[in-house]
Amino acid sequence: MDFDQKYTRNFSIIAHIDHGKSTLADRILEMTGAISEREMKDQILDSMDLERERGITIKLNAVTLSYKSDDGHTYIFNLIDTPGHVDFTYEVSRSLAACEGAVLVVDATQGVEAQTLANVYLAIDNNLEILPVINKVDLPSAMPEWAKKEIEERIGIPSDEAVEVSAKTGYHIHELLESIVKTIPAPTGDENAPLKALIFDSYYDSYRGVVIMVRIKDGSVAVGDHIQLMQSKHDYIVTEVGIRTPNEIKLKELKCGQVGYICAQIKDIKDVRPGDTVTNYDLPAKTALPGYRDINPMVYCGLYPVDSDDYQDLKEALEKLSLNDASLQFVPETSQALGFGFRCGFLGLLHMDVIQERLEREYNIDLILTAPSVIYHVYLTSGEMINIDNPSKLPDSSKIKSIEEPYVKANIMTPKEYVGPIMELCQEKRGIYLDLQYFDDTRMILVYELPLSEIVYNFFDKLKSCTKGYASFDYEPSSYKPNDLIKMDVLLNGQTVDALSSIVFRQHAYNRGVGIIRRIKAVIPRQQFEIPIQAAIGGKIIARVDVKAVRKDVLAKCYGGDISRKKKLLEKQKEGKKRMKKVGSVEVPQEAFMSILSIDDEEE
Amino acid sequence: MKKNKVNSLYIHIPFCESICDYCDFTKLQYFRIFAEPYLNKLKEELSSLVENKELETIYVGGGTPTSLEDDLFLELLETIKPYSHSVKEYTFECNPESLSLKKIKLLKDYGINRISIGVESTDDKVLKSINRHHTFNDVKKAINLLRENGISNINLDLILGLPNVTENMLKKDIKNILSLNPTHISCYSLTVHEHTVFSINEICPPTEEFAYSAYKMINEILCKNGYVHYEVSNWCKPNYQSKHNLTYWRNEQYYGAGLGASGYIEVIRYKNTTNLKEYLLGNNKKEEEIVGKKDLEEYQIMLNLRTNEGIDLDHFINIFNKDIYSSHKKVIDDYINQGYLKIENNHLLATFDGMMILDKITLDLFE
Repeated sequence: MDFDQKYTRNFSIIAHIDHGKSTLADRILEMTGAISEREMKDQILDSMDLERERGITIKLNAVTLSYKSDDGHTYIFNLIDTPGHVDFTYEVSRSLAACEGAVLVVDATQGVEAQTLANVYLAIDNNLEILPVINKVDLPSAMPEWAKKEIEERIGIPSDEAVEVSAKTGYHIHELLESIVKTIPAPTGDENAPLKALIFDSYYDSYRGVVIMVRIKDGSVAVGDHIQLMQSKHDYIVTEVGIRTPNEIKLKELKCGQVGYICAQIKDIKDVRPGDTVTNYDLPAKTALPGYRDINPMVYCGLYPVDSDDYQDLKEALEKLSLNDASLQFVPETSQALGFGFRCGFLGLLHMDVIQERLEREYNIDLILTAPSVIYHVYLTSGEMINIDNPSKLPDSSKIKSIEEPYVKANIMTPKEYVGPIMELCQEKRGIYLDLQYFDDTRMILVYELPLSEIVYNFFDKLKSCTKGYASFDYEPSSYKPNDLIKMDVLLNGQTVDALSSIVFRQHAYNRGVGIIRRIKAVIPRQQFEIPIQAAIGGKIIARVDVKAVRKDVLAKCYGGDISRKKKLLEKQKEGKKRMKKVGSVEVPQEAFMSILSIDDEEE
Repeated sequence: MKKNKVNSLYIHIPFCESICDYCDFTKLQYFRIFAEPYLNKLKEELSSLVENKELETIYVGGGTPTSLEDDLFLELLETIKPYSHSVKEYTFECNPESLSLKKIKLLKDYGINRISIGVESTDDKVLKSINRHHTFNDVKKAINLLRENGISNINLDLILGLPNVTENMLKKDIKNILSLNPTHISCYSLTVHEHTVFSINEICPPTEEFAYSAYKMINEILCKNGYVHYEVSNWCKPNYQSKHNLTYWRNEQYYGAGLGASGYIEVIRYKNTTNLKEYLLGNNKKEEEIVGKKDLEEYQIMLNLRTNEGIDLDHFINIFNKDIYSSHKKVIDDYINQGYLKIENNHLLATFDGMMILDKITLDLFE
């Protein structure tokens, strides 16, 4: 493909989950002949199974396409995909920064959603030209005019140019491509300036090392160039550059305005941070591209193999996953109850879920996760401040002067009838009210500062249930604030189980304690003896429930045909038992360790 | 491993005059047009299946074997006759209402020496509510008739945990049953199976606490009256254990013939099809399980512990070249100390409380 900035369009697609982003991307790939239908998996840009299952994009991806426009010229389209979840806001902003425009997809039956809004604002912050598209106009319930009005009123951008499409049927995709050519500006970088390339993604390849996905903002980069990453300060010699169509095509160089990949025998993905600037080592740019931020895990949890023999496998699996996931952190940790494992840091709960599922599914390791924790700043009487990411590691209360916990700023968009219940929920979750605004005639945006630990606890589920799923919400870290926080322990059969400890707000302690032990009770199978489950603070028992001893557990009838059936059932149970952890003399199923979090209400 | 001969035969007659609300056995409404070809196929199956003509036990269950019309009933007896000449225990399952004098005489003539009657409850209201078509009086009459005709080895089945039956009502059931002086009593805690009327009506099985205390009460009364608790759900007068059923619990082999019947021959545990059409086409076998060494060991543990004979530890070593007591010492000792297991004459066996949680114990002894 010949390359000319003038005939290049770099854009992303912004959409709410389920509004049809991936389907639209597929149609664009098809219409530009990038891949044949035979080659095309269902939704090509979402390459991991897990992503496809959950309908979300986690790993960014980019593809270079060529499109022959009605004006007679052939254009190069770089379609840069963005992840669609609140855990990955920073990555979204970096991939948007690699574009000049964004196609905003709005579902003709749903209108504008809070998450869309957050990303549109990110796009506007990055000075992107927004091209609105009304999708799913083939549906009988589609209301394109209403959706356009929504775009004008809620986002405040004109919508008369909006293209009405159906990604499913392919309707008006050609019109959309023409609009992209007309509306989205060409890149305007200085090809003679020193190299500035924005890193918006990277992945590990066992042959070539880390592959960096970049957008060349100024200058160019060629094989053999000596490059430097301006934030991490590492320097490398370029071994390969190219574009993905989506098949990789090697090139001699990547020019100004182009989107492609660079390989430079980079060993560690942690050296390649999204948002960093690639420049020429010998002829460096004066300033790095703006917007770079360190990304740090927000939540931590313990990951333990159910079978302690799997420890080494777990370690290797985590190492492999972290090759491709710079934000995944892990260090070895031991628990009295669970043995050897790892304390892992994640960007958020979804990130945690995804890693857990990949470990279980791709690496076949049965895991026990402890409840996720945030990082507490603990000020000791000695004047020292320590970070605590594992509640069981909290020092004795006599040594603690104060504890601070992280807060986030949460934007909650909701139909106005739910404002009351949401405010009640936020109050209950120790939220600090910041703002309440009308979004349109029927919806409002509530802004609260909330402790991250409450978000991690069960805020999502509670929000869903008190608004029948109509509210949507996103958050960003705000600050650390001091609070009256204490450690609560759980005792099983008289023995403290470190993996069940949590740090709680003192006034919530009793209700939390009762809730936790009841949930644990519900999942622990009855055993031959009665098992007390207790919640304790500083050695003082505050609540107790008992798992009654098993009295009857036997198949009444066991004759000819029942025999094989019974044996099969027992074998199944035996498999289930393997997934339990013996803590003292008590067999504890995996779920128990997550029972600190639950969708259930705390006891009133 | 040296295998003993197959000494037992189970025959399934899937027909019933009416279908009970809790039943999940292979059963169908009785129709002559099905029963006739069924008996023909059964004859074929028996002749190709049963190699040992010196059987020791035969058990004819269902369904309701006595639901067959008299001529077909006779045909059934004739069909089985070639296999029954050396049999020591020959049982028929019956419903009280279908046990006519004519059928009883036939049974006696063909050597049946044990009858199992589905009593289920002795409360007529309860019987009606679960769609049973007999009364307690019918049971009395049937038993008298059997005894008058020389069949006195009689088992009565009772269900524990039927809806709206209190522990006091159960106590009365047991007293009523005792007044009939049977040689054998089976008492089964209600299980709600899928696709039964009970399951559709969302009837709950008894709670653990109710089932345990009811079993305990029943056990105490029966033991006081001279019965031996020889299997989880079975009591008998001394020496009246069901020889046929002991075959199962001793992990011995048995033939199974008829719709949905199961058998165990050499290293194969099989189950026949439950689809009558397939059966009549001669496509009997549905599932086969090859019993490996480890499976055999697990079956031995699971089944032996159900009876008051328990696991013969020496025998276990002989067969498996492995001492289960030393390989599971910690688990077994814990159960012994807690009063769930005991060792007597080098047999490992479950106490009453142990029998009540046998699934749990068995699971701990697996692996």
